[in-house]
Amino acid sequence: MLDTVVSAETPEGIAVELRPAGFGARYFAYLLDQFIRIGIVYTFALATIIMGGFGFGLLLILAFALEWLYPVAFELSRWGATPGKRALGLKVVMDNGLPITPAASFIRNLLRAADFLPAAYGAAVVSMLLRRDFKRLGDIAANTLVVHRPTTPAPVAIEDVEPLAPVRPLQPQDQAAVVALAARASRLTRERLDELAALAAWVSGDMGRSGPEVTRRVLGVAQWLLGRR
Amino acid sequence: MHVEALAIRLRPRSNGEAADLGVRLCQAAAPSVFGCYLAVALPLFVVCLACFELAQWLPTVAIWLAKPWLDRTILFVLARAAFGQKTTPWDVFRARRQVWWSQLLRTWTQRRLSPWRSLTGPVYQLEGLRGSRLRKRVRQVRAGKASAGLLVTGAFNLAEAAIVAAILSLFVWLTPEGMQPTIPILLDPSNHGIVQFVVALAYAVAVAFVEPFYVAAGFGVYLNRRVELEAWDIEQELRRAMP
Amino acid sequence: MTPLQFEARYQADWEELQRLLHRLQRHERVPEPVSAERLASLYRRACEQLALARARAYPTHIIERLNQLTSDAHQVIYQQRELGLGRLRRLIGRDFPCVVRAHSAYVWLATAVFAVPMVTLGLLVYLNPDLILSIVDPRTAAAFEAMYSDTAKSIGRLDNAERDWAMFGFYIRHNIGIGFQCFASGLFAGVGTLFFLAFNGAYIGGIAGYLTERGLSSTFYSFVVTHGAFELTAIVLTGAAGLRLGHALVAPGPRTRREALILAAREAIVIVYGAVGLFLIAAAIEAFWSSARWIPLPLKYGVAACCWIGVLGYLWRQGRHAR
Repeated sequence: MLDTVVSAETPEGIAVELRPAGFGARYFAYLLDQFIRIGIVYTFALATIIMGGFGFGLLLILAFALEWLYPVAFELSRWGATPGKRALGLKVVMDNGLPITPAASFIRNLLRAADFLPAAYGAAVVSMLLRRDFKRLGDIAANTLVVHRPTTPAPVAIEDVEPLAPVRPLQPQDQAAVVALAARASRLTRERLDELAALAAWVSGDMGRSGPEVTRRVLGVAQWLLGRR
Repeated sequence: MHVEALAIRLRPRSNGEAADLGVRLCQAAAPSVFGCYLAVALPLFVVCLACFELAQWLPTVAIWLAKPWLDRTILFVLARAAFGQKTTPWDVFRARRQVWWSQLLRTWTQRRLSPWRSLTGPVYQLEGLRGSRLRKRVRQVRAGKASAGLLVTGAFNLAEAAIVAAILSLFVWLTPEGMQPTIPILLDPSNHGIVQFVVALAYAVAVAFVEPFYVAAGFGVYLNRRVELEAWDIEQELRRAMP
Repeated sequence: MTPLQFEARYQADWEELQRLLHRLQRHERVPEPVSAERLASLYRRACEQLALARARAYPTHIIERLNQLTSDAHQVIYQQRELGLGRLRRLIGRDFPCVVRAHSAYVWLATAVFAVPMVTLGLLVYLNPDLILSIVDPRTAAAFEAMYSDTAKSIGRLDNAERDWAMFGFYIRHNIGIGFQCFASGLFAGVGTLFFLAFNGAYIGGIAGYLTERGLSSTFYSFVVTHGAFELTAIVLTGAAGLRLGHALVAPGPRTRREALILAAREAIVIVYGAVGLFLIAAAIEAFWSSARWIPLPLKYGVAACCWIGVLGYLWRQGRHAR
């Protein structure tokens, strides 16, 4: 089964799911950061224009620091992401899902110089499109991964119908499928819900039948599986 | 449509992740996708580049115009790849009536101008609807996803631009110090032709590389939309669970 | 246990863990410190519960919640316990010099291809200064002369404004550009690398010969000799890496060309990392040290000698006995 997820194992033996972020989201995060940096330099330039040569020197140092230290500083903060990445729900972690280390952050950001080559981040674009984990060269060298930040799942509201015991014992994954149907029920059209419930009708002994009544019984089985009796 | 035969793990995803899944699909099916796509695209690009004799700007514009039509070949292969099927150029040729010659007028006009064409492409090409039902369906799929489709188009246009810039600057990088073309030389009218041709060539290479990923990213968002609208992921599970 | 019972039984644990994590992530100052033991035990329990929930295929929202809790806790608990400097230290302390030595044949070849044209053209131009015009146009030659003339305020550049930082950026780009040419053009069966090594050698040698003939040797050599230790070495090393790529393409041996190239790139890229480091050091020295006029010449030459010995000795000995 094709998926973008990579799993990393924790020392506790638990597989943590990481969802590597691909080209689209990362490009927009980069653009956003670039706008922020240009904005800062521009504001500062207006302020230092009266200071003459010394101000110009300061401006160059600032531009240099923003180019190389801005991402490092933000990636080592508690968000683990630059403001652009944060806005797009991204985060930088190590390959094993741990927070990014300072050295890794330095390496991946220094090697942006290699990713930039031959121009306009050409190497990074090609690398991100060709690699399964969407890494750019800097990520490969630093063993880091840009991932979609996991979001808190919305609490599911499951329609209250009368619980009904399944007509035969169900395998765990079959139970999960029936419960998932119930959890999604409120977001589907009536007709589509009936169609899907007809596929699961065998759990309530209605195999081969369909309609609102069957749907209600299937949802009842879901309630029973969740533990309402 | 046999949802249970899909070789992709479906679940509700964010738009960004959905586009990533599309790219991942394209990577997994790369031999099929690029084999079929380049078999069609390369001859076409050669013809386009040959138009250089007619007008210097023509190759670039011709390649740009042909993109939606080329997308159809890519999408045909991707849709089969989603079910784990391999595709050869011969398969595409046998399906040519459906892939190449249907909706021809629409492909070269309205589809070319659509800013979210990789999102709505699957509706036009794969769902087999016509007339008002097709229009209604397109609106339904697009609702709430138009911005995602727009962002996919924007991102991959930027990718194309980046690769064009990269290829052009490769010419400069790989010229020895002291012989590199300077801006005045590039702007010199007598060199205009060669510059335009090199740009067209770089554009052709960028389109040859990026377009399948663009179509795939839009296809990923489309699949995600169907998960939202029709709970395909749940259908997938339920059909597997059926005794 | 049904999902609802499962949720009800452990809900309190999860909420407590969530609260602890929240406080730790916000760096909130709280009256009582968060107990590390309590956190660890809650985390371990959440891990067990996640494994259980997965095995029993509980509803997605429970699994997702536990997945998020454990991965957050994981992040907090292992927060920056190590600086991750180990990898960097390993690269500098062992991998880079060892890989360079493992490619010594390429390094020697690259050195020869670089140095022979450099010396040859240097001598030729010294003996016959007009030959410089076969490498650069008259304007550039004049510009070089002006840069190293005794009247220039800072050496090696035309405008004498205090732009060390700007020049630093310029040197980085320029240096890494040369390194990129030498490395990447190895993909043209190594011919590109050979060409760029020879060309850059000839270019540098030609300029040196020309300026020596013009009597500007003291300014010129005092300028280039320090950062040259890093820059010239790095050019040769990127060239060696490029030759490795080219060799893999021309003679892949028992592997397919593709496999051989991937293997070669994986090894050669370590050299490139190191070379990028050398280029950065070179750019910094070039911008802030080499161009400074106030430093007395003996000091400059002394430091330069140390740099050369340091760089070569590092590549020669470092990491030799490391296991």
